[in-house]
Amino acid sequence: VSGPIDSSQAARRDWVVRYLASLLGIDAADVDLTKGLGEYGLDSVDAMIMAGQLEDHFQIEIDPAVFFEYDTLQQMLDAWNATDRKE
Amino acid sequence: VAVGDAILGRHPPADPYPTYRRLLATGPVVWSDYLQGWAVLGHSAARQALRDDSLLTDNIFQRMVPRLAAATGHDFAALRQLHNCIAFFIDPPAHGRARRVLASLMARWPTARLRATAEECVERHLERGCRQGGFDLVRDFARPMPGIVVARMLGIPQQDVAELARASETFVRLFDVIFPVREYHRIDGAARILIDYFAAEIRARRVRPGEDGISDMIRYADAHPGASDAELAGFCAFTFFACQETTASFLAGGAATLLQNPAAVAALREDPSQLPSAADDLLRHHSPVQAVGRVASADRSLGDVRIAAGDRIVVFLGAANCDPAVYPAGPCPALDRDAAPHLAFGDGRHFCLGAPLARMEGVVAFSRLVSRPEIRLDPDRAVWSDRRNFRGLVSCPVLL
Repeated sequence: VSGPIDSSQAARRDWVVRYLASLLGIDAADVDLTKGLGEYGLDSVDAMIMAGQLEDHFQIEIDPAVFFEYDTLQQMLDAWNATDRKE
Repeated sequence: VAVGDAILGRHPPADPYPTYRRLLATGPVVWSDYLQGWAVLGHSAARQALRDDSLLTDNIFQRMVPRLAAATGHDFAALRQLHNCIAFFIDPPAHGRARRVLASLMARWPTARLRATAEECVERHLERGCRQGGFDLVRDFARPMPGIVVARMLGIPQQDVAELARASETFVRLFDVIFPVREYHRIDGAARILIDYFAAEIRARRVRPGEDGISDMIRYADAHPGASDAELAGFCAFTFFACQETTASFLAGGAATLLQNPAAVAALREDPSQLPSAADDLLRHHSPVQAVGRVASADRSLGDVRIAAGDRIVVFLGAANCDPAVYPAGPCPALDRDAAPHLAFGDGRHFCLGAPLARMEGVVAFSRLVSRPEIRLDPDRAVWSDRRNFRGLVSCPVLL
């Protein structure tokens, strides 16, 4: 990654959508963030790998267990965005 | 029921026992969405599960590590090699072979042969800690002795123990299963240190065998072909981290509980014959391994539910060990009563081979501790590990 990382809320959302679309082999427009990872047939290993890629891309630390604490990906993104406002 | 989440989630409680008691009230076996499997909490159901030979190990890492490797481009070779030698992740028929190698080592090194080493190590550290006017229960009391004892058994120098113990502490995070990938890299590095160390020790003994546990293991393996030197290195590494980390966790947690019960300390000082049962009750109350996974290979009933072939099962040893149906509430350690056998060592096919060793080390450590009435704990400053499965204190100051 060169230059500053765009870690706006939109950039995070886009990254997650693109990642899942590529992983699942579906169109980005069909990625539904009101679903959880489990509903897409993804398991804890997928969550760990995705968290690792998120860490690398956004230069953050993220515990993959968060994906199983929220019912939907949108809730997870909301919680992630909420941690920023505290900083 | 958020059972798995409550115990194995991102923010595990420092004291899981209130959560266990609350969950036990909902039933002995409950479904957990978080675990995607059955959580076994009740003592009777847990024992039944552990003794059921149709329940196989849940070899989650064998499925997980190749996928992690594919995603990261890192092969995790040391982690795989060590993992394949962890006896409680191995199913029959390979399990019997692994267990016989390890059992031959424990049989050659009964506790009577190691007791003096344990006593000398604990006494030396307590003496120094008391002379200094205070010490840390974990760093200066619980962690040093188990590694020194297993080093005596395997025949490796005492000065190598500290580095191997650090690697062991890193490695046991593996049992949390779900954690950041960067931790997998650290765990792989720790496995590399352990594997390479014991591989070199084995090579040295191929040239020059001695009267030590590693040489005993080599002789056994040569007489009963089946284990390669690479596997023997894995068995040595498993023996080291298992003996070191479980016992250190038991000694620290047990001592912390004991020191908060001055009546029990005084009673044990008066009557040391109660030490073995007290040590066992402390182990019940402080089970280092909180949960073990299984997969059903056939349909069956467990407790009050039907389990289907292929279902995942997580047996919560810590919950079973505080089941109020078996253990009435009361101060720990309970003295003057015959407690039901606890499940801290597991049960059935994978029952801990180091149980007699851990019990001896507990009795030695606690007998030395109660012999010093000046020792006081500062429990408000106790720090617990954030590990989810492998429970333990990180530090706890002792005052005099």
